[in-house]
Amino acid sequence: MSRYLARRILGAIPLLLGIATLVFFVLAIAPGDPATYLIQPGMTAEVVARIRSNFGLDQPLLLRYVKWLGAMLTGDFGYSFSFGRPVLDVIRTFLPNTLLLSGCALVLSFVGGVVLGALQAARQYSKTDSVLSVVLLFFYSMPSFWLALMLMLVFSVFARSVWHWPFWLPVSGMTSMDYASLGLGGRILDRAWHLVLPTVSLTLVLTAGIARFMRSSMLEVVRQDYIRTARAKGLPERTVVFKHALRNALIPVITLAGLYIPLLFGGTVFIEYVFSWPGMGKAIVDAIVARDYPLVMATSFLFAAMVVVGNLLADVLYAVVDPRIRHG
Amino acid sequence: MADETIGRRTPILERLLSAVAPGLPQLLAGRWGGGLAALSVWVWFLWLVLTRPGRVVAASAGTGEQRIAVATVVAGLVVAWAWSWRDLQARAAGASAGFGGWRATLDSFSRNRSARLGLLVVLLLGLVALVAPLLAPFDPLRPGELLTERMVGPSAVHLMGTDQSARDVLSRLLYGARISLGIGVLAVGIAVTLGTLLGAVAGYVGGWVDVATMRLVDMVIAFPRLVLLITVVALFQSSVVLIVVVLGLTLWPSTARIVRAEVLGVREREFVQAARALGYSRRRIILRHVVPNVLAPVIVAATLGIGDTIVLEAGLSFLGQGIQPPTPSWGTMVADGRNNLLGAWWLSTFPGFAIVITVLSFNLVGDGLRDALDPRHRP
Amino acid sequence: MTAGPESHLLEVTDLRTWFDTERGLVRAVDGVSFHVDSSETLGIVGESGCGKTVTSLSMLGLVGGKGRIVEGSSIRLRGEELVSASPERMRSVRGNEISMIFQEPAASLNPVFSVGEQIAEVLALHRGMDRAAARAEAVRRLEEVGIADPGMRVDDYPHQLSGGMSQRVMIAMALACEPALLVADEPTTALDMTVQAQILQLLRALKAKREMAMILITHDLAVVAEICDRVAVMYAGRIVETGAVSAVFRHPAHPYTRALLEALPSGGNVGPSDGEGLGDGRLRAIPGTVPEPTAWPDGCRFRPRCPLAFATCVHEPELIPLPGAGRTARCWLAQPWGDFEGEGLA
Repeated sequence: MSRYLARRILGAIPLLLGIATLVFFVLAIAPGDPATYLIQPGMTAEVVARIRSNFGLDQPLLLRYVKWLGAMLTGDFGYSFSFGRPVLDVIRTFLPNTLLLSGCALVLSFVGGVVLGALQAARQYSKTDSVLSVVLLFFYSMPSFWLALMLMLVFSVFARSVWHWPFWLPVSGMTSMDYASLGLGGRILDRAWHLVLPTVSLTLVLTAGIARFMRSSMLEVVRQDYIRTARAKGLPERTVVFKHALRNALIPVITLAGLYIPLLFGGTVFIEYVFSWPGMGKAIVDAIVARDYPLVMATSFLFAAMVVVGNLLADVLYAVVDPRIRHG
Repeated sequence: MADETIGRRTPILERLLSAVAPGLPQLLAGRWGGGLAALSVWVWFLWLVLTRPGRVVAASAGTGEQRIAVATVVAGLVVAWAWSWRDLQARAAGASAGFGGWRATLDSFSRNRSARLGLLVVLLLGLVALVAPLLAPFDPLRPGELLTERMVGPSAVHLMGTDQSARDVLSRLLYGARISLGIGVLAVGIAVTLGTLLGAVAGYVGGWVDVATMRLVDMVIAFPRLVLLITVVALFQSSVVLIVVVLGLTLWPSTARIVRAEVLGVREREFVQAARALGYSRRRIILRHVVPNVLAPVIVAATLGIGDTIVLEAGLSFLGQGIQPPTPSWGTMVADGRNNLLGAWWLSTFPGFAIVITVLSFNLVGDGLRDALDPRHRP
Repeated sequence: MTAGPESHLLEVTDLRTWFDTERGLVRAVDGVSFHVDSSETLGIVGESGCGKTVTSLSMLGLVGGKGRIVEGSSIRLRGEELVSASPERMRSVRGNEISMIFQEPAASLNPVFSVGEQIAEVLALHRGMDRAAARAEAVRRLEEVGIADPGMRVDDYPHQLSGGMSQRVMIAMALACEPALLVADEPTTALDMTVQAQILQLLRALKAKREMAMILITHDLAVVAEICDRVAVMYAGRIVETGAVSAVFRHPAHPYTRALLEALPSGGNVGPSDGEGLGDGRLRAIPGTVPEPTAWPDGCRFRPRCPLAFATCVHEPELIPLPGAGRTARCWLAQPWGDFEGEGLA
């Protein structure tokens, strides 16, 4: 088992390196450069040249690459222009928010997807199965940003201003304006209240995908010989399904969850944008638009790194669940 | 069965029916798929021509896209009519369609109702995209009366309302179909071609080629596609070509992975060994023998991929990084409505709904293909 | 052995198991009757598609999907009717009073649980044992079926075992609760030749130790000759001949049985014989193919392929009792031994 893990971790390192390289060179060949942000019209060529050399932009590409790589390894991600703070600072502020959002969404969609998928498979050919199939496919085909807007429309905008419901959900941000004045219980409630719509928007689409996959995985497993053996032993059907079938059906779903992580982060970008959630997704979009290169490079790399780590975790989970991997 | 007896009992009546309303005899005989498709195309295009004859005539001498629209209408009418006629002939003679090994697949697919529905919708969407210049009631780009027609809700004149520049939403929606479908199909086309070739080579040749290719694949897949897209598009002037290319370049790795896995399985099969024994070159073996046998999952992945790509392009436009206004992309239209949720809910709702229906249809077709091509999945 | 139905351990009467499929009604098992007594091994023999596997599944109520046991069928275990038993009762029968082992042992074991856990599971279920006791018992069972080093093997996973070992584990699991009847569906078909012999020997030994009854489903006549006491030959969803193995193999009463024996490379010399076989040593294939279960032929189902078919065969024959214990045959031409001797089929 530990050999398997060691191999995986060792494999991840060149991957991360490759990604960092990819990021650097994509940004390097782009027109314009970090200095453009600071260059005002009317500056003399001398000043421009000095600004450029300040950022080391007059040095050869490879040298810059090596320097940047070295800096990254020591934790120096550079300075963000658009925020006026070191990049590490910016990341430290925004990353937890994104992790909160995507973490909740991942857990909820995994649990929800597994449960729904298993339910569908257990009741194959029934009405529940057909109805769920349609509904899930519907959500699976939905762009998350549109779902977010529609949910906002119903539960925030219309609920409050048109239908005058007693309860509605907030449109933006992580906390209310009077957050500081709330007690601990109030703060937790306030955070939860703000977390609902973004999480739900992100979760629904992912759940649909996982449920579909889980369903087909369960149907595949239930047809296997060892399920027939379990029944022949006299086990109650519930045990057959939830103990024997489920564990086997979960195995491919776990790998799927690993593949879903990049999608999750992509979706997070939209959700954060729509709900003005102060997270990495929104930060990176703003940074790209503002040509804030250091921030862009650092956040892109970070995103990819999180994906790699997520896949690693999925691999670990995979080995835990499937003894065939553990014992080679 | 019913269609046999109809063919033999009243051939003249049937032929007459087919001449006036192609697809109707098939529909009456219970053959929903072909009948519905032919009939709806016929009725729809006829309605188009008859309700706006002047416009059609003008369009045949107009811009390229207008001429394509007219050509599509004409072709559609001809094909629908001819298919219905020839189909009746074939039925009367007792022939049945079928091309060998694909027969089982076709059968299974045709029995899947939702897959057929999806295919029908995809077809209609494609036709809408081609025929939009003739179909749209208003010019999607021209602003209307800013004072009176701004932000008007759905009404008899503007079925889906107007936007903040008093442009008809329905017309923009129809034109948006071209963008979304076009980009989706083109990008997936690039991705599938590239992915199949690279994956097949990697799988067949093995060795360092395989390792290198798969490392590249891992890297691109690990990167959140959206982030890469936004980055590239923001850095290098946004244009349709760029978007298509980048979408394609971010999608090929998943295809390559699928193809490689399939090739590894096929490589050791007898017919490949036989080809090798006959001394065929590697290139020939890969292109002529291996690839055709691994196409099945690729087709499924491609179909499902079109849906994903359409959503991605819409998302990109939504963020303002994709298609630039005033070109109507469904994504930009949803973005337009974002700040007007309270005042003009229709601006975001309809375009988004269009995306959902489109992607849903592609997904239904993709699922149907997957069930049909994989014998294990059949119920 | 005479006496009425109460004295048989398992009595199956007129079992019909049908499937409602898209292509029509599949009468996989269409009126099958047989019985098994304690300490007895009954072999059910037939080609693929004759319904023998469905028969075995029906006995445990494991026919899933679109299959159903038709009314009028009867499966009595020690006199108790199982067809109409409640699901709870059936579950207490499975693995406990009647056990079953299958053809592909490697695929029949759950890959994510250790073999010890899977054996312990059935012990905990039917005997209420706790984990420690069940595990200890599992080790003993593994030893009993001839697995070396059972204390270590008990924690192994199925993918770490060979085909023969997997089947031994299956047998251990099936016999853990000391069932009165073991149904073995092609237990050796997927195994290597040498392993086959070992497993059969094991089954014979275990059976003797317990006075357990066994039903062995197979298409391999050699296996039947090896360890079965009685045999029932199935064709097209029905039993066409029954009797003691030696009697049936030496003097088959039904043309199908005869043809099966003649199709063997040894020319009919199977099992304990006195060198007096049938046929002349040439391989004879049975002309024609097995009929489709959606459309059994009218009259005698073997008629289209039978070289001896004549006018009366358009009426389906009953199972005619013949001289000899439990001897029956479903053929108008069925006679006590003598008439077919020395004649090859045309």
